[in-house]
Amino acid sequence: MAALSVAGLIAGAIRLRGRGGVPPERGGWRELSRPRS
Amino acid sequence: MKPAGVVGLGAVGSRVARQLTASGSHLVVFDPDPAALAGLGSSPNLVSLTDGNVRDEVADVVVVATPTPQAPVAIALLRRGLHVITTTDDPDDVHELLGHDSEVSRLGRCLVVGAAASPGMTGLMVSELRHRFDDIDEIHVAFHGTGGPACARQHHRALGGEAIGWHDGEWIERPGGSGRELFWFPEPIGGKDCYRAELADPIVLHRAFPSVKRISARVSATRRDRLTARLPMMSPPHPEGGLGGLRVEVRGSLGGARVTHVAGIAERTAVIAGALAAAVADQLQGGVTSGNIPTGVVVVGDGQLDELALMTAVIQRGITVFEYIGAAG
Repeated sequence: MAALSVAGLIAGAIRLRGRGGVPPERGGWRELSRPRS
Repeated sequence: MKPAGVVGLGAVGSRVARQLTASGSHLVVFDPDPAALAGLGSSPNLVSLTDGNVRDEVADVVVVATPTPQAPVAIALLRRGLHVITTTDDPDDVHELLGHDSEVSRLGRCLVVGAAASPGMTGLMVSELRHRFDDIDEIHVAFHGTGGPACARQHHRALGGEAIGWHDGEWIERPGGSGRELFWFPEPIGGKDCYRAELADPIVLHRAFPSVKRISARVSATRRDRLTARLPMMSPPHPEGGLGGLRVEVRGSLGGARVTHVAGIAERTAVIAGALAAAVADQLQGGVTSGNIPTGVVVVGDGQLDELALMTAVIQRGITVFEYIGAAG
């Protein structure tokens, strides 16, 4: 039981942790430019 | 011309109804809950019914905005002679609806599958970006937020399910909640960690763009969302989710060079879904009048609808679509 609990905790930690991402360093959002209909 | 119909007046259905009455359409709405009907208020263009037994003498085009599964309602309405627009985001429901293609064609009716935010608006955004390439080969969709309670429950299930994706000509399955990617949505949402989930987008996008080699869909989630994804929902979902977001990344080639374009939306999910479903309903109503309406199963992006006009209509209904400039955010 204890071994299963420890395994569960380790699996949960592996599932939830992460390094995170890198935000874009340039660029940005602007309104969509559309072809003339 | 007969009025349009809306079945189900939850977060999405009530938005569709408001959008259609605001643009002057005559409308018949159906919901078994009198409180939902009362919430729409009164309008000379609006007829409210608690009996969902919609027949073709009442309406030509009907939007189904009930909780999933929508297939039984949609198929029953098609067999009564109506053209049907569904707003489902459930993969099993989408599979079921797509499987009725031959019957819908034989009936000479139109069944639009998944005219919501994701799927639906995502296909329209890909269709819009498609014209900037010679050829597209990858579509990656990310979704943030939920519409009404049914949508919130669907997303909770999605994180605990098996995520499917189209990868080099075959369907792949990965555990929901895996494959973390940080995606940047339009402000004020900003960066969100997104994960694979059991979403309908890859199914619908593959139907719309069958030559694309890779299609993936992810949904934003917190650590708590992922930890509790395989458990029952701890707390009841809100009547309406907060600000939601869509991000669509399309990769392909132009003049022999690799090109990536990204489009996004930051808006309440039910508002996006309501605007698209209303715009599709308007277009089908016009098709009924002119006698130029597609028959069989239709998904947004497959070219059977006038998608340029559809995007214009969605923007006119108040949805701002953005594009990312400078780098693939």
